[in-house]
Amino acid sequence: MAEKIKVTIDGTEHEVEAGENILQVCLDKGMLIPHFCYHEAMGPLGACRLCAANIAPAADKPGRLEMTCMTRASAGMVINVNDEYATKFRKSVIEDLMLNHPHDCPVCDEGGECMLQDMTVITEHQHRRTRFPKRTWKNQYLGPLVHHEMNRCITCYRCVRYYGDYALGSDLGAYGSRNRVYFGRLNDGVLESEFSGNLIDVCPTGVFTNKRFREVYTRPWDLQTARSVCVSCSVGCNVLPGFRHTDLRRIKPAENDAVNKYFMCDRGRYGGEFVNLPSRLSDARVSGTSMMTEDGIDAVAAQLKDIATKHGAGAIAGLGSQRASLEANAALTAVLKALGSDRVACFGSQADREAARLAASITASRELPTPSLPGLEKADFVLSVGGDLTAEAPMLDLAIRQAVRQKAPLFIVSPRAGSLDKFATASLRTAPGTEAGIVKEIAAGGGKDFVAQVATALKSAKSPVILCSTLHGDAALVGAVYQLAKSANTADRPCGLAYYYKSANTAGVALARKDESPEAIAADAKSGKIKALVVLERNAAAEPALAEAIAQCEYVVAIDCYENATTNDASAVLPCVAHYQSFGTILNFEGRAQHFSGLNIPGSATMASSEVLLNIAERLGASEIIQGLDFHDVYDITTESGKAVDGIRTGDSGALVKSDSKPTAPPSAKPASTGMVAWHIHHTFGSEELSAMSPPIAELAPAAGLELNPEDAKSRNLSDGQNADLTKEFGVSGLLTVNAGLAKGTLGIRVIQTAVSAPRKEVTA
Amino acid sequence: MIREMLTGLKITARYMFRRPITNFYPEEKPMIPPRWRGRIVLTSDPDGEERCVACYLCQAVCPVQCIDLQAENRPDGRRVAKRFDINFARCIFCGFCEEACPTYSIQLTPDFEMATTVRTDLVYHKEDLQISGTGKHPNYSFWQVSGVTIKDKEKGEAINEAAPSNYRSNLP
Ligand code: SF4
Ligand code: SF4
Ligand code: SF4
Ligand code: SF4
Ligand code: FES
Repeated sequence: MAEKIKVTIDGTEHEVEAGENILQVCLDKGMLIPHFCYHEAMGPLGACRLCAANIAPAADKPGRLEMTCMTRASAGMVINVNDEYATKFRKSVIEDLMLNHPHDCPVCDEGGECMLQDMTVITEHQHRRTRFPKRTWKNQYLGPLVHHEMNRCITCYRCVRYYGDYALGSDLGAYGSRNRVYFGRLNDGVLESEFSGNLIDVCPTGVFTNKRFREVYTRPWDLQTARSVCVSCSVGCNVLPGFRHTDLRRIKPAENDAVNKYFMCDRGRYGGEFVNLPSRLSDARVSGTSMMTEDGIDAVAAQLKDIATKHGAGAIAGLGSQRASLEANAALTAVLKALGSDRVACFGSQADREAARLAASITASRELPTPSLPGLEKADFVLSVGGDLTAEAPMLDLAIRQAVRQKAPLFIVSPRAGSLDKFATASLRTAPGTEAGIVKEIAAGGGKDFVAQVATALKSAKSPVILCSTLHGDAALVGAVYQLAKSANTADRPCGLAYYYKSANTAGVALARKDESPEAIAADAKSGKIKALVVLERNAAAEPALAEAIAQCEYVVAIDCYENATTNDASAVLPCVAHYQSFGTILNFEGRAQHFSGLNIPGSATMASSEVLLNIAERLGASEIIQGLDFHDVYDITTESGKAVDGIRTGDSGALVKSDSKPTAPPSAKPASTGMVAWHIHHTFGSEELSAMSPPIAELAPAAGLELNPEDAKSRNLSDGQNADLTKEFGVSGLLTVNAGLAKGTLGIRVIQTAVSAPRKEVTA
Repeated sequence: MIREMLTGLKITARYMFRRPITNFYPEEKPMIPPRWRGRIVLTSDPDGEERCVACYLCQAVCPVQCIDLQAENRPDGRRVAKRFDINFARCIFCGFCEEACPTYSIQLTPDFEMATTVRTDLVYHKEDLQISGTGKHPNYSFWQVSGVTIKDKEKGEAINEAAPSNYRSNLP
């Protein structure tokens, strides 16, 4: 830690760290120094000249006007923010910035949370004294997410510093010269970055605003907001969803020092509109009759009890949800327990289940350090294995870009090139199933070319990090990566290891003590051994392993927030509120338990899924089970500080959980297949179930279809844009895209879920 | 005691010979000053288009929160109120909304005859509030001052605006 020194700010002595940024010091202490170009994530630039103060190196030395953001604290420094000349100077800076500012506030979407409005008020600038005409600009079309209104720019350079320098995007720049600098793309077009939405928060004026929010605009002070956690991937960024009347209007990132500090990805920001779907469920539906949720719960409880008495306890099973909270999944086990059953399946296939459970148990054993997002930014070696980080856990990608900016070597081993590959020191394209072998070679230390390069870089790194995807159901790879990290981990050189998952709470349900393979449950449902299935927030009818079971099972209860194939098919549907209106705890990729809250708004269901299930359990007369419901019994977790997971509150930084047991032994790798292997391609936009239903995300999603390497396509006599029928081998057919960035021997199947929401079913009232 | 009674009668007698001051309302309309704060209207631009740009400032300033609106973007580039409701059962006719309005749209008028026996009739909707005149500010048009493009007004065509700059050129 840096040495503590004393500085005088406006007559009061403060203790600060030597070399600290004066502007940041003042802001931290709650002093409002006007500023524009300084942003904590991007550091000082000194471009706007607004943060001026009178600064003297010592009390007996004369002071002079200096930019506080460009000055570092030194012992004895005297800073006078309220100095008369400095105050006048700041006012004149604002006056200059306002020379060309349009008369737009009433129709500007930034109004109400506009830094320029705030700074103008603080500096007390009121009248535009000049009569010269205002400079104007033409706007650009930047895609469906961000609206551009260039007249409002004050040339602070925040946007290009964020977009280019921080997020390493290449299609937004500053053009022109002197008092005519334009911030935009070279030509109209969709912004390429997956993190473009942050421009809205970064720009202190209304140049970049939220195009979706614009369509249903309301002033920010009218939004009803409860702090939540993003549901669109396993990173668990903290967010502020804003509601008004009956709808979600927008999502903004919420600060959490341990997770996402200022930013979030576009999938999270724009993926929340599933909440507003016309197919959101608000009433219960039991055998085609619509009724109040309470009555539906009565009917379902009675029917389940009936089935349990008639066919025995084993006749009922539950399908847990990776996007529902720990509370909801625990409540599902309580319902089953009340009926005498303990059969739950939370995963879509045995392979996925093995991979996720192994990864989660490795993480929760806390044997190796798990890097948080800020930790990742400081890594000096990054190895990403098995998946496309940008698509599968977007904000991990943005964190790695920070490491790359600090010259950390980045290596990628995966079957398909993603957005991050252009920053990689080296990438290896390899067919699915062969990654584990390569990781083992790296661990063994020998090898040549890529393997040798990675091994050497890993050896010389001081804070290496290895990231591995669990979305492709490769438990052998999860195990191999664990072995590699373990061998690289020494007391003086910890090696970070992180796995990322399919859904927001996959890591949580993967630590459930009771969980069966879905194939086992599906088989029993088909054979008639299981008579009833309770499906929690999950479109199980769309999962290949379970579709038939859902169709054939006698009694299916679906609890969900929107109409889909499962609720369409179910004997009884109980509505629950969507994630952003719900509350509970979820575990992110690092095993950080985070609590989220929600608001009840008119026009939707009234209960969270956990409440629906607890109500069913209560109707089954299981109040004792509910009383005794303990996270520790359901999940193999306690927090690192030993405190129970139930104690976490919304808004605190969450708590890392740990489990008591050691990770199970990884299965041995399957012999690499010699033929073509199918691989699910996850896209940043369109592959995650909930966000894919959001109209702007659906607009950005690529078309569904298949991908092949050029050589494979040629050997099969297939060409780009053709309809490829591979039903015999892989059970799929679709439009073929020939992709040179795909490993040989891989059949890429695009996962596109833009159409999972089903139209609302007809009901008798 | 007699004295007190006589004093009272004297006052009565005095008023008996004064001219009555009863106003024959509603047959005779009272004189209301033009700046009276009565029934609220939404006025129009000199070009006849609605003035309100749905900025929510009147809703924010209203001390009794009787205004509720929702913005919408028209295809011609203008932002307007999709819905604009004022609950006159709650309005205290303070005039704050008029003062806050940056477009001179919302204005209070000298009309006070809004009595009804149905409470819900006092919730006025946009169609009840919108008038075609300009009210107290005949010449102001927000869209001609603002930098936002609307149909028939491109960038650089608003009042006191220079033609759009060209960022591809470094010439002075
Ligand atoms: S567009 Fe916004 S962020 Fe960029 S320079 Fe202008 S005011 Fe700053
Ligand atoms: S990275 Fe994941 S958690 Fe964060 S905003 Fe994006 S989708 Fe949400
Ligand atoms: S006059 Fe006052 S109370 Fe009535 S709508 Fe306007 S601000 Fe609200
Ligand atoms: S303040 Fe004026 S322009 Fe703004 S919403 Fe109210 S009436 Fe419309
Ligand atoms: S914030 Fe210091 S010069 Fe802009």
